[in-house]
Amino acid sequence: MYTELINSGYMREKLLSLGRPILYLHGHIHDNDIEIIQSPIYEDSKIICISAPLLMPIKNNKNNKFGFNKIKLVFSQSKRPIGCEIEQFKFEDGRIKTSTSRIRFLNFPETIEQATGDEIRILELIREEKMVFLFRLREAYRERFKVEIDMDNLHKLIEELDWLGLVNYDRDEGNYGTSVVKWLIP
Amino acid sequence: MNAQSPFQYRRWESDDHHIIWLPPRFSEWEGKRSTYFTGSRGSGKTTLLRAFEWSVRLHNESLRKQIGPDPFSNKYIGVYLSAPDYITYHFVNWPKLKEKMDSQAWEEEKGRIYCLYLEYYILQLSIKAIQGLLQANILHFSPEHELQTVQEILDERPEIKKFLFKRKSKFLLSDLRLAFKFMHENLRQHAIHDEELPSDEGYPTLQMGQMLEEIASYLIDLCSKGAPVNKNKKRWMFKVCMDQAESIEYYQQKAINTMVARLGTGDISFVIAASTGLKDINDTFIPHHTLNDDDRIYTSLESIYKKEKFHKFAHAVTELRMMKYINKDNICVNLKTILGDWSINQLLDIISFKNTESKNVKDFVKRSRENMSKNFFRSRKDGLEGIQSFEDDLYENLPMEERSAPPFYETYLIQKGFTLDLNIINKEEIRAIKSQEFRKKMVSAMLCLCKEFRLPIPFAGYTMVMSMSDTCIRDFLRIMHEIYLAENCNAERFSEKCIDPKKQNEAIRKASESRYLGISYEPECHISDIKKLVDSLGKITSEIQSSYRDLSTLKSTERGIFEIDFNRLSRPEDRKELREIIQEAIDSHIIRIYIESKDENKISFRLHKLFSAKFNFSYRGAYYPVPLDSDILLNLCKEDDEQIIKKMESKEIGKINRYRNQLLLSEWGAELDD
Repeated sequence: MYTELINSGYMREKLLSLGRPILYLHGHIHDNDIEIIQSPIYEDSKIICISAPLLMPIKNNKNNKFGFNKIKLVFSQSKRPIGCEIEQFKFEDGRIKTSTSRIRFLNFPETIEQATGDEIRILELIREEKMVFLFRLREAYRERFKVEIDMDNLHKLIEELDWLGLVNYDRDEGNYGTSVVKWLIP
Repeated sequence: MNAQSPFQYRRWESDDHHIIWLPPRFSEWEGKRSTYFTGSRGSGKTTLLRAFEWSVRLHNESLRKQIGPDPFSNKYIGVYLSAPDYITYHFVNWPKLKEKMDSQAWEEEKGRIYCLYLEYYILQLSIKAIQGLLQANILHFSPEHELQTVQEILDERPEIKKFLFKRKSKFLLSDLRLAFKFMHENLRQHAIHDEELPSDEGYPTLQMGQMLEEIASYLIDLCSKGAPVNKNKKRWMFKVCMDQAESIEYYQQKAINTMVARLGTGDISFVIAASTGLKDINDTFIPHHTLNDDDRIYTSLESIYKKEKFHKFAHAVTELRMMKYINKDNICVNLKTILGDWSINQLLDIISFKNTESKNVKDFVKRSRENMSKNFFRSRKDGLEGIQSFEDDLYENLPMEERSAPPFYETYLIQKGFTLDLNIINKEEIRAIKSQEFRKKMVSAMLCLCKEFRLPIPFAGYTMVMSMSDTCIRDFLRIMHEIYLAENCNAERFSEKCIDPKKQNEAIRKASESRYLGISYEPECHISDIKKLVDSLGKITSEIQSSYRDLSTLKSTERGIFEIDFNRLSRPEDRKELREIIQEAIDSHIIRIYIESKDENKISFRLHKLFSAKFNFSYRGAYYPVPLDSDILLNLCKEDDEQIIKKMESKEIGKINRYRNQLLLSEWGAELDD
C-alpha cells in the first residue's frame, strides 16, 4: 500500500473501486500508524489502514514502539458495519499507555439512509438546538413526543448517529446526561 | 433491610436514608467565612457537613423540610470530601528532602504539593457538582458557555492540556474533570513510588490554594450564565467541606490553614470538621500570620449542643425520625410525656423496692411510709416552688417529689444521721432545709441506699435519658431504640404512650451494655487498653459514689472526675502511650474531658454517662474531682492479671476515700461559715 511498494497505487485503486469501506490490517513497517485513504471518484469507498507495531523488541532494532492494537467493529441496528474503534496499547518507559481512535466507515449523505425512525426523530430535535446537553435532549424528546426515553437508550441512539457521521457526540462517560451532542450536517 | 425502630442508628456512611437536623446557628456557617468544627464521635459532624453538600440539599427530604423550597437560595455549592478518601501516608516524607533545603523549606514544599493534590480533588468534585446542578435545572448554562469556560481555563493554565485524554480542539467540563482526576492520581502515584516530580510534568509552582481559587472563579462565572432574568443575581460560591481532618498530618493541616488564610475572591470557603484531636487550627505557612476569627469561625459542637440545649436537638431528631418512619408530616412528639419525668423516690418505689423480701428493706420501706404522714413531707412540693431553677439545670436534678411515693432517700439520710425536726411547719424553714440538705444529696443518697440494701439502681425517665446521652445523639438514639423495642408497639402508638419505668430501666441497662460491648468493635488500635480503662474507671466510680459506710459520700455531689498528671510518669514513652489511650477514649466518646487544662501535662475527665447503668454509678456522671495516679492508670490499662487489677483498683479506691475525707478549701470555708 505504501508508495515504496511496487504496484501500491494500482492496489489502492482496485480496493477503492470496490465501492465499500475496507479495513486493511498489516504489519511489516513495525510502526503503529493509522491511515485513511479516500478518493473523490469513489465516494462510497474508504480504506482504513491499521499497522501493527512490534509486540516486543527484537535484536538490533532501534525502534522503541512496542505494543498491540485492539480493534472493535461497530454495527448499526440494521446489522451493517458502520465503524471501528481502535485501542492502541503502547509500552513506554515500563508503563502501558492506551489511546483510542474511532473511525467512521461512511460519511453523510450516504449514511442518512441507515438511520432508524427513532434516530431520525432525535435528529430533528438536535437540528433545532444545534448543540445540546443530552439531558436537555431527553427533556425535549419527552415534551415533543410525550414519551419517556431512557438515558442509556438515548445514549446508544446518539452513539449510532455519531458513527453515521450525522452528529458529533462528546460523551461524559461518568454521566451521560452532561454529554454534548452537536449537529453536523451542513 | 428495614429499620426495626425509628431510632435505629447507623453511621452516616452506612445509612441509606439520612435524617438531618440543622442547629439554629447553621445559617451563620453558610456565609463566606470558613468554619472549623470540632466534636467527639457521634456529635453529628458528618451529618452537619453533609447538610452543605449539593446533592444532599437537592434530595434529602428531612433537610428540604427545614431549608424551604429553594435549597440553593444562599447560592453556594457544597462539595464533601472525607480525609481518609484521599490521604496516604506516602505523603509524609514526599517529595524528598533536597540538598540545601532546610527542614522549614522542606515542610513548606511538602505542604505546597499536598495542597495541589487536594486542589485537583476539590476541582473534580466541584465540576461534578456543577454538572449535577445543571441537570437539576438549578444552573442554566449552555454547551457553548461550557466550551468557552473550559477554553478560558485552559488558556489560563495551559499545563492542564498535558493531562487531557482526547485529542480534539474543544473540550468539555467532563474532559477537564478527567484531567484533574488524572493529575490527582498521578501525584499519588509519584508519592507511592517515591519518585521525583519532573519540572516539565505540568504541575505549576503556585502558592497554596492559588490554582484552586483561579479555576474556581471561572467555574463560578459559568454558574451564573444562562440564568433566567428573574433569578437571584447573587454570585455563587463553593463550600468545600472536609471531614475527618484529624487523620491528616500536622504540616497538611498547616497547608490547609494556609489555603484558608489566602482566600481572597470570595468564590470559595471551607468547612472543616475534626474530632477533638484537630492538629492545629491556627498555624499557617504565611510568615507572621496565624488564622484568627477574621479568617474563620471556630465552633465546638460539644458547646453548641450544650448551649443550645441538647434536649432541643434530641426532640427535633425524634420528631424527624418519627415523621419519616410513620410517613406523616404532622407528628408532634413529646419526649417528656413518652418517658415521664419521675422523681427519685418514685423510681425507687416502682423499680428498686418492688419484690424485695429482705426484712431490713421491708423495715426501711415501712419507716419511709410512716414518714409520709409527717408534717415535713406532707406536702412534698410545698416550699420548693421556684427552686427548680439554675441549680437543677446545672446538676440535672430529677423533678420535685410527688405525694405518691414515700420519702425514701430523705428517710435514708435521716437514718444516716442528718438530724431533722420532721414536725416543722414553717414553709420558709422547710424550703431552706429541702434545698440545702436534701436536693444536693439525693443522688448520692440513692446510690448509697441501693448499695447498702443491695437493690438495683433505677434508670428511667426523661431527665435520666437526656443526661445519660451525654450530649451524644448516637447514644440518645441507642437508648431510645432499646426503649422502643422493649415497648413493642407501633411507632404511632409509641409517640402517644407513657412508657412503664420498669421497661425503661431494662432497656437503658441493655443500651448501656451494648455501648460497652461496642468498644470491642471500635477501629482503634488500643481497644483492649481502652476496655480495661473503662472497666477500672467504671468500678472505681461506682465504688467511690456509693461507699455508704463513709458519710462524706453523702456530703457532696457525686465524685468521679479523675485528675491525671502525666508528669508522674517518668518514662516519656509511657507518657506518650497513656496520652494516646486517653485521646482515643475521648475520640470514641468513651470518656469526656471535664475542664480543658491550660497545663498540657494535666487532664480531668470522667466516664461517659451511658456507662452508669453498666457499672452502677450516677446517671449524672460525676461532678467532683479526685486525683488518680497516672502510673496506676497506665498499669490498669496494660495489666492482664485480674487479681492484680483488682488489687490496684482497691488501692486506688482506698486512696480516693482517704482523700475524700479531707475537706476541699471551698467546703472548709462553708463549714467555718456554719
